[in-house]
Amino acid sequence: MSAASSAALAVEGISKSFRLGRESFQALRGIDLALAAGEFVSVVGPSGCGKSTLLRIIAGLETPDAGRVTIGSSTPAETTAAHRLGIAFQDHALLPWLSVAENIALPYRLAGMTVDQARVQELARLVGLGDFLRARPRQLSGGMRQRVSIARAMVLKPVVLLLDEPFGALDLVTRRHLNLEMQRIWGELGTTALLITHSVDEAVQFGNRVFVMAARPGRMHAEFAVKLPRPRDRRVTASPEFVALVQKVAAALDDATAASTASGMPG
Amino acid sequence: MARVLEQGWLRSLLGFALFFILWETAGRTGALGASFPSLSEIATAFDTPVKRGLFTRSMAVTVHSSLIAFAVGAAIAVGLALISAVLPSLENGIDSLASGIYAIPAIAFGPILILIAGPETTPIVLGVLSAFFPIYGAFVSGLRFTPSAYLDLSGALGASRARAFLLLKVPHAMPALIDGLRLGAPGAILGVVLGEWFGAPRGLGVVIVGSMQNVRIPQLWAAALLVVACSLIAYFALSALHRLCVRRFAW
Amino acid sequence: MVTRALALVMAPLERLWALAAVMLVWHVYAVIQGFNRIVLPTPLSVLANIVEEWPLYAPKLALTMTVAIAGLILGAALGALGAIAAWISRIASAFVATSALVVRSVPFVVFIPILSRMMGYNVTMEITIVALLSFFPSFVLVSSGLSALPPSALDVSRAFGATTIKRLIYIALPISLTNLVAALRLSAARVVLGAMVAEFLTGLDGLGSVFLLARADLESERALGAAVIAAAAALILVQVGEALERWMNRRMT
Repeated sequence: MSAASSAALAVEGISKSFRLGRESFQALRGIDLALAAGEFVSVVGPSGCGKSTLLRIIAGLETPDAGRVTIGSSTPAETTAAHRLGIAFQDHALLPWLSVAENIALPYRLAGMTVDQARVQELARLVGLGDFLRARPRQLSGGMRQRVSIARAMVLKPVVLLLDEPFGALDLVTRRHLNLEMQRIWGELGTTALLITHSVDEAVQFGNRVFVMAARPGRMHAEFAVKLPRPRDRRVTASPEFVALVQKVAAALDDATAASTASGMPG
Repeated sequence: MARVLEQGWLRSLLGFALFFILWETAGRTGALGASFPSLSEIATAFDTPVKRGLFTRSMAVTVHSSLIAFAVGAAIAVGLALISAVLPSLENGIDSLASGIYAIPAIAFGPILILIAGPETTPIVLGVLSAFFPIYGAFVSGLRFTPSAYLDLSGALGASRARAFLLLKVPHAMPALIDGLRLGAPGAILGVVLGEWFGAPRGLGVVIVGSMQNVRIPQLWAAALLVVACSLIAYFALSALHRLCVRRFAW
Repeated sequence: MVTRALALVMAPLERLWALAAVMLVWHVYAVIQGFNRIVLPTPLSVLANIVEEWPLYAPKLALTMTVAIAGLILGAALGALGAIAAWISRIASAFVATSALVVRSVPFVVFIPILSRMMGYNVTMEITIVALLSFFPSFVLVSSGLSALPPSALDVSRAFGATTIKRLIYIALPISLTNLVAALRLSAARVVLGAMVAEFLTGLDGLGSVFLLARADLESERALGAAVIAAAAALILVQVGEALERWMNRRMT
């Protein structure tokens, strides 16, 4: 048995090509990734490196050309069918016609289960929206909407939490604040989580490990272990160790971007 | 004064007043010919109980037919839109039937409807046909263009097709449906009046054709304006509903 | 090989089954009715009548379609010119909002009897009616196209010192043209209706007046023949409009 089979989330040899008109281009090549139970892993990469495609494959929204994804001992399709996947997008995808509580409860209704109101309220409190249960998404700020989206992702106690740039659309101040909040929430729930981001700062702040991807074709370029204490509040993020690591990851990202451009030149 | 002019409704009120004054003058001076009456002349179409009775009866018939046509047209449109969304193999066929109904001038259905449905029912059927397309088109496009983020969400959460349809697609399409309804209402009225021109015994359309042939100008204008008024009332009533619906279902 | 052949047969079926069903219902209904009284011709007998009496239909079809197309182009062109004028003089917004409302809520066809009284029963009146039907959609669509112009596009052209004329030619006209074509497509279905209703109400020569005469003479087949021809002509006009719009969009984007 490989080490991957004991992982909470195992990605083995994933490749994926897309057709663009008559040509086909490889979005992902030979991606390997293994997350231990309760681990938080960040993936950074230049835009167009296929990191969102990777996440969509893990979520079962797309099928890979080669390789396989295992969540616990199930395929992505089995996991979604069992409603055990949590996901949050940059576009929070809240339904404007539902209240905050109804939006958080939506996964129950989509799954055809009875809504556990206590759980909904608990999560709303956890993300700091206990007083806004009956508000409409339109009445909330961007940061608050994203909190609803994260609470919604967690409501069914997912085995894996997938975060696709959930803070990407927020302004810097809100983003910092929500980063801290999200760490606290994750600390309380302890779910295995995969974060896709283009912010090195964010990747290091969240991750037990940080992966750097290169583009065309999307592939793993470098891996860093983050051995900094949690919670990674301002004291940690201002420490020389944090700054040094961010610089190392950023350098690797520059390196990956350069490599992408070079290999991206048509032959 | 300037402050008063900035108020939107006051400005449109002034606009209407100006419009009516211009109309009255044009009619009195005969600037646009004898067939363009002043507003006060049009009002003479209502000046005796007998004349008023004619309009009340005719309008009741036309409004009644229009309401039936609108309800039936909306029901068929919603039904077919749901069927084509649920059964994609029928989508193309229903689409081409709908766009055929839209492209064929309603008057071309007249002769066959007179034979099949008879002159009393023809207005309603034509009303159904012309109310149908805007409602079907709007609802179908609302159902088809669900934001991809919603679909990703339901996919990742493992929602069944039926649940994703009922909980995401249908509510998302509600504003589009109401928009279709407010376009369908004038359509229903138009179809009914057109149908009445094919030899119906009663209705505002009958009054219009009769006064045209007998050169009763005030009566002709009065009937046409009543049709327009019905149409505007239906449109604005449904616009209010649309606003409520957008507030409820859209960002 | 077999599946491909099957697909070739099935593809039009997928689109046309509904139309075929309508024809079938008509036929069956006509046959059933035929046992009781001879009032409803079958689809086949109507087609036979069209072929047989084509020399009678052809000139009427030509008349109706000429009026419809002439009025369509005239109205749409005037609408586009009006929209450009409103855009230049910056009075657009109030006008356009009202026109858009009018297009969506007022059934113009009820004014046909009034206009025919005002202008007399003649071809000028018929073309005016058709042009009126296509004027407003064009005015509204071209206006909304012009107002959708990013302000930056105008700023840039002003920064380059472009005159109003230059801005008209290089910015307003291309946008107006695409929206004008969209308006043509949109109004294509309504103009045939307008022309035929005018003919039907006033007895002016054309497909619409065939209904009138056939009704007087109790000739159902001829009325239905005219209806089928009108339907086909309108469908073709709409298809042409759609093709024109697709071609325009390909050229402009």
